Amino acid sequence: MSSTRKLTRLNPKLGKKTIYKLNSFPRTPVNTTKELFSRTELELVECCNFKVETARNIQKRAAKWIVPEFVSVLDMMTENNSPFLATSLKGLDEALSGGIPFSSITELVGPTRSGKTQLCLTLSMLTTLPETMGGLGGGVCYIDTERSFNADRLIVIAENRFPQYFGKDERGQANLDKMTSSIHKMDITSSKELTKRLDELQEFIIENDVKLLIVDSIGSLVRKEYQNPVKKCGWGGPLMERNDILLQQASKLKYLAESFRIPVVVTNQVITRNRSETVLPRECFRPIKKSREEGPEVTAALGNTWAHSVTTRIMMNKFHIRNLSNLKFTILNDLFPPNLQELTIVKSPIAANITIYYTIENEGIVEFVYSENIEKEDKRQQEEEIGPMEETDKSDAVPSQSLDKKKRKSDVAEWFISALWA
Amino acid sequence: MSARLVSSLNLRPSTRTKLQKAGFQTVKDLQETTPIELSKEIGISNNEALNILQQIKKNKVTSISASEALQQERKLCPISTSCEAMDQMLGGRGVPVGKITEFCGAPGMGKTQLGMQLCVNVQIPQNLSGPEGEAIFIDTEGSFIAQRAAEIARATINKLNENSVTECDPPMNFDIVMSKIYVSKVHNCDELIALIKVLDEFLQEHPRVKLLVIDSIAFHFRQQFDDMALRTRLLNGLAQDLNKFAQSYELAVVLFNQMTTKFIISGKYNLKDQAALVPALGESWGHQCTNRIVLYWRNEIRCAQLVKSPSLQETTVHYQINSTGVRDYQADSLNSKRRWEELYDI
Ligand SMILES: Nc1ncnc2c1ncn2[C@@H]1O[C@H](COP(=O)(O)OP(=O)(O)OP(=O)(O)O)[C@@H](O)[C@H]1O
Ligand SMILES: [Mg+2]
Repeated sequence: MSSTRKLTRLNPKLGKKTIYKLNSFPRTPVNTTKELFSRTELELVECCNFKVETARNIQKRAAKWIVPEFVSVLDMMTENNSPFLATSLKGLDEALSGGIPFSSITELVGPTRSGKTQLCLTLSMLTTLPETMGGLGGGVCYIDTERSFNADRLIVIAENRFPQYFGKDERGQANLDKMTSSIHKMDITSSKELTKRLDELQEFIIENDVKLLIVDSIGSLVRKEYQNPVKKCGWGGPLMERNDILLQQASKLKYLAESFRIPVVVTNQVITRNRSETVLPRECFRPIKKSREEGPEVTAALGNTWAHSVTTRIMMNKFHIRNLSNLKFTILNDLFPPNLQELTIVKSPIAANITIYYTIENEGIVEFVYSENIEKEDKRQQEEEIGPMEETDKSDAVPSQSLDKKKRKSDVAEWFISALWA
Repeated sequence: MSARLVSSLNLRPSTRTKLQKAGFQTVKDLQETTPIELSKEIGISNNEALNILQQIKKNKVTSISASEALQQERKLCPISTSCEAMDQMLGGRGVPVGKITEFCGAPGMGKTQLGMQLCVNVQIPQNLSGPEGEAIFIDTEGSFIAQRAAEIARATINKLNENSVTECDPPMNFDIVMSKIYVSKVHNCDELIALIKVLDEFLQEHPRVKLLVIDSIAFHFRQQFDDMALRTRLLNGLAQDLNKFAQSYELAVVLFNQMTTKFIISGKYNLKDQAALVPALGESWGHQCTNRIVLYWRNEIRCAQLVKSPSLQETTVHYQINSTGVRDYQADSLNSKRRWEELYDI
């Protein structure tokens, strides 16, 4: 992302003499806008013998050349009509007012097997769908640092989710081909390589009409390369170096997201640290687990500096009702499937900190909705109790007792959620 | 006066032809449209449309009689944060004009939210004792989302509508509010410095701007600086310019800063090193702003602490962020949480 420009291109406005003077700036010549703006007015005056006025004018001229424009929010709103990528998780989309936001970085944080890659694959598939089906009708650039990308899985997700569109017939197969050929995987093995790739990505994005950029995962490389920076080498060098790499990558990702108006999704791992041994300050996010809980604390890897760089952060985790054994909610237990997971928006400029529940199925990530489940459960019980009823008198034949129970159950579910997350 | 011809307005030639082609002949024809309608119909930007419509308005009400002193006072009207406790902490009525105020906070504390809220609140009209100004938002992190700003604006306008009893006219128009927040997204340090260098021109063209937000000052200055002395120099230069703007244009300058982990190495006999979360950019930067507020979580409540101020008492207040924006903390929700915890001994 070298947005710096050669000053010689400003020649007609600055004049040859000025440019010559700047070039002969002692020790470090001033050739580019970047170099010009890392000098203060005073330095220019002293080192090049400019008058104060001249120095100011030079910087102003160059500044006008590179400053980004002001846009009113009104214009921003009319410009981009659907700046979100729907995730197909209804609760999440609603909270984020449509889905994963464009033009910014969204981070998925979670332990292994929490479904980060599954969600990435689902999102990739959705992005390639035509707009009429809620997709973006574009390509995907999938940067894989952990070798977790799995094309077979991608196809399974697609076929199960849209059995019509990706059917066994000719058209279905053609659609499938189109989908797989617009998802581009890149294997990357070092953080240096990642930085370099991000620099070169502009062309790739244009050529392949990329509408979604995924980095799975952002943390694994630097964490391998700078293993345990704190314990080994103290707080100094390596940790700063690691943060510097991360910040660079973050600003490159942001630049791509904004310039192409595409969503950028990155994944990140979690670290657990023992509460009693904590050297680092407490996680600055609202704690995911209740503070009174025992055991080690789970937080996102890569620390606070990186955390500032992501615009939206989503935590994915195992659902932990069973950990809270003293809860008197055993009745609810059999309503929850054993592979239930939860997903919390921990930071977003647009959404409150809400939690939704999901399971990983053949068709990718599927939201788990209580009320539906409770209804299903109730229907089943009802049928067991009195047997299936005639369609016609169904509405008034529902025994009041069952209605009560239904209401009570959904109330309990609601309480339960609000107690945990209010 | 309504029979005044459109061609007599101060317009760009191309716009004038566009208007005439669309059949707008007299000012009266224009009075019936809204900015958005006009921009869509004749294919100009919303701002331009607004400009046209404002010219007409200005022509309508020409004389405002108010004493010089009163105007002066209004000019310096602080900008409310929509959280009364925080306004109190900042000196009574909100973020002061003519000074630099810095908010520091960990990710997700609501800095960007507060920035958007201020951009809306700066536009509260004078008859509702607001500053009635415009806002500049410089976004370095890419977290300004128009939809969220719209949501906050709608909620704020609704609240004002509820409170104003006499008005039959809505006190603030949503479209106008949205068109008076000017956003610039800067992608690196040079662009930020360049922008500040030419900002006075923009401020001259938009004399009603009363608020300048930079979210965040830290992001681009935290990377790729091998030469820390250079960084300090550049930051000092920036602070000087901002101070100048704050005073000569009577702006409230609001900066957001990130937090960084500071390590205190405690010698080899101590087993544990200490670490603390402190505002980023170092200590010399800390001297540059007039007021500094740190935002943090305590027991699941958002807190704001005034840590530096030349004249105000250093206090801590609570606030919250909900779908409507920044608000006072309601003890209610805490109580209900307690009740839950008792009931189900979580
Ligand atoms: N619609 C909403 N309803 C309720 N709360 C919301 C809403 N939108 C945002 N929030 C709250 O604001 C938080 C985000 O705040 P914000 O984006 O201002 O953080 P920030 O301090 O700017 O962080 P960073 O340092 O990373 O930029 C969310 O995590 C959420 O708690
Ligand atoms: Mg922010």
